Amino acid sequence: MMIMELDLKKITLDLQRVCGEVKFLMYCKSNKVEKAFFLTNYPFRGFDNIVKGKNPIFALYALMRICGICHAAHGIASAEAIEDAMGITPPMNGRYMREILGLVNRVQSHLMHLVMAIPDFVEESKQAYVLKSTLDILNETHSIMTKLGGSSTHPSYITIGGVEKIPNEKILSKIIENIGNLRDKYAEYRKELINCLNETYDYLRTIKFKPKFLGSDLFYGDKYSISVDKIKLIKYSDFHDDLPDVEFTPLTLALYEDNVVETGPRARLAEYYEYNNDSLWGLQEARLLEIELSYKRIYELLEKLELGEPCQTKIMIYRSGKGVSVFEAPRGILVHKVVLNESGRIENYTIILPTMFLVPVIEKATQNIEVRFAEVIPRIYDPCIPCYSAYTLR
Amino acid sequence: MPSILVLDLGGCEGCIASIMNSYPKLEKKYDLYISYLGNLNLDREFDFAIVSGPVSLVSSEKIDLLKKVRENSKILVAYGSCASVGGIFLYSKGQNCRFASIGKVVDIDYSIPGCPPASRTIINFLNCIEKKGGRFLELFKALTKYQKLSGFDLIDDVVLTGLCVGCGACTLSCPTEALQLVDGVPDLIVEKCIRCGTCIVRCPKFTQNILR
Amino acid sequence: MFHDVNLENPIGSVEGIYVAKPKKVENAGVVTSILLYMLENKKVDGVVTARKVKGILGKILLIKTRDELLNTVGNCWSVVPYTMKLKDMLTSSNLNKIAFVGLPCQAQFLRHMKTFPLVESDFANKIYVIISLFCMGTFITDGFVKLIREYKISPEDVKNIDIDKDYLVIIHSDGEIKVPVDIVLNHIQHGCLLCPDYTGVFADISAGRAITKKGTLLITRSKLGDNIIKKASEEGYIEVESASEDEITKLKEKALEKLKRAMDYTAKLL
Ligand code: SF4
Ligand code: SF4
Ligand code: SF4
Repeated sequence: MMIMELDLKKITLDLQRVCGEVKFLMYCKSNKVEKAFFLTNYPFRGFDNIVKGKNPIFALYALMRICGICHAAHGIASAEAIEDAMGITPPMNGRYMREILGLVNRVQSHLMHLVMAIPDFVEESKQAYVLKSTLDILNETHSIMTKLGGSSTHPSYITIGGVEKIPNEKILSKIIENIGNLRDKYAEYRKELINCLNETYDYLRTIKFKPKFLGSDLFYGDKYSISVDKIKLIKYSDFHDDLPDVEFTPLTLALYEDNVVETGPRARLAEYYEYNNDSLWGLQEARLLEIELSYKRIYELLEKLELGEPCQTKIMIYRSGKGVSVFEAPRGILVHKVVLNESGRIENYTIILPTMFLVPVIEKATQNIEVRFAEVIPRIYDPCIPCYSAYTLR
Repeated sequence: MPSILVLDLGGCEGCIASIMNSYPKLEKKYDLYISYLGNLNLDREFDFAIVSGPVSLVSSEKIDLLKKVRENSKILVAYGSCASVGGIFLYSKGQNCRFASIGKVVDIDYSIPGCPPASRTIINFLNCIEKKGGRFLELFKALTKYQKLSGFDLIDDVVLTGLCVGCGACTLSCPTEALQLVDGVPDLIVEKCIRCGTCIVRCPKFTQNILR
Repeated sequence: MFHDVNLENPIGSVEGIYVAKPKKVENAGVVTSILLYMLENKKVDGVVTARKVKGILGKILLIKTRDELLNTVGNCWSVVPYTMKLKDMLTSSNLNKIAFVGLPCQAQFLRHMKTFPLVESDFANKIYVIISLFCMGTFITDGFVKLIREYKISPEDVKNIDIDKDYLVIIHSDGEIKVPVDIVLNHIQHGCLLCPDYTGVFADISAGRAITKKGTLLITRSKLGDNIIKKASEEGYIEVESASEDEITKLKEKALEKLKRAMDYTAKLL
């Protein structure tokens, strides 16, 4: 396509209310977007190099710090990849706890997204109120993460072989009670929220957009239900042959079977929950639904914990090996791949991040959108730039 | 109302998110400018700039931005481990990826480590400024002279020099439990240290010395 | 607001200074009586303090009942290594209001943790009130034990240790002895020689032996601390009177001694 046609108007948006920063470049014709480029000037952060040569335990703690929003997801994915390379598996309690922490993190992340997205689709007069009640539920969720994971950001109990501890009986029953209350509180909140939506919501509901989906599990992530080898990484500059002439950080995109695929809440629910909403609003609705399902699932899993049983396989095998993990992070498929050298230290690390899949989807979804609504499209996909910039093809 | 700019230069955004959690309290006393609210505006002056994340030495854009923020703000705070003491980014390597704590690029007024600092920290910090003082404020000021602090420094400068009294503050502070007391003496499990700096900032012996 | 020591004011910020005696329970100390008041009146739901287990060594305990409290013996003259247990104790229980009794350095870091939770795993928000004991330094244990053995005192009998001008006063079951400070200094931890804080300026309440008369000197440094003392005396747990000018001057002299010592050693050791 010739984007330099004279009748195309170029609009550059410095997007706020996303994690990190985005330069969203659009070429528009009359009042519709013809083509969009999702760029960023966020510095490339090279986490593969930070962990190269290090002990796997350090790698786990460092990689968790890729993202302050989906920290637990990175922690779990990294732990699983390393365990795979070492040939160990966590005990049942450890596995449950990880799923719990992953889901608490999913709720944290979705709610934080909501905090940012409120001005997009909540009526102006109700925004302050909705913001307050969202933060309220978010803060309560944080304190559950602190109790279960040791810290509400970068939960330190996630470790190689499982988790470091599970709560004792007294604490556990208190948490179960809290989760129950929170689940009910959220259900109320969701009902209220639906009555506060504005015309962007009406518009998004009318736009059908349904790319191919990629999900591996409803809650946890399963590396056997997708085939990691079919994920292809491609440099952003190789993906587009008509790049605009502007400065941006060269990052990497991910395709599945050579296709642009949507991953994340809607993909998970469509593939494993018979969810069916092919409008763009479906993305946000899926997120709201996932919060509800997560609280429910956390509640069930907490009751499954066997107090007194181990939660960590306390064996570290320092040997060479390769490992891979697939985890359903809040924004979708997250892959960690590790190669350990003979002394069991990190030789190579690859991270495939959900936002790598989502960027081309966002660019596609914005095509033909009315310009006045265009800025909402990248945001409704909840891209995460700290993650996106953590790894790139060199 | 005093204005506060909150900005992440290239960290994980955990620090910003933790400040955002305190928004309902902060909003009562301060005008908060933060991208999470969509009102980030770098072309004005601020009473406080709270900057998190390390600064990329590869990106001249970020360096310029940081300098501009310095010029436009009365009080600049390096917030969180990445910004104040470098954190894990001290380990970044490669030609396209180099980072430093922000104090290496501009003068900072206060340096508050923590990964991330708990939400209450920002509120108490602002309260202390308002009440003009207290020893902890002096401490955060003194910390601006250090561009690197971690469990390694604690062992080298406090424990191995024989100044440690075995109070346990460091072990109790470490978020990754990288410090253990062995016969009353702290020892570092090196692979667990993420260089957040919390332990040494809590150590009464270290702080007594840097404040003298 | 908690202020550091300096040459003009070596005892930090002060709300009130009192001399107190235990009232309700005869041979419990003043600090124990205050703790008892807080426990029995549900001001706190637990107390973290040290108990002397062997010689001059102590062990940290979480106390929830009156009986447990009255069994805890006096002061501990060694910094108690608060292994990870303190954290475990507090995070693995549903207790939310704890009274903490410790030494000035511990009061300092807990106050720091309480005011500036630098990491989210910090647990100091569970600590409601911080009580510090006066401290002239802690010993390299074995060296100190050897020293007092020379004076024919067994470490088990040590009741209290204090400093008086150039002498260390060791109060034991049968009386007290005075040891020249020069000799003792060799066995004090180097870190303590650098410590300028005698009274524990970051505590809500600091407590130590009164100088001019029999009793316990109490310094309150926050409204919270002051209220606790007032209530504890109203409820009849302790008997309180304001400290005399003379007492306060003597206290300051002592605190100044430690501060000056710290300055000397800072020059020498660093
Ligand atoms: S200090 Fe920790 S939480 Fe803050 S930006 Fe850095 S990694 Fe994230
Ligand atoms: S030892 Fe712990 S507290 Fe100290 S710098 Fe390392 S990770 Fe942080
Ligand atoms: S905080 Fe400092 S004095 Fe206390 S145990 Fe640790 S190193 Fe020793």
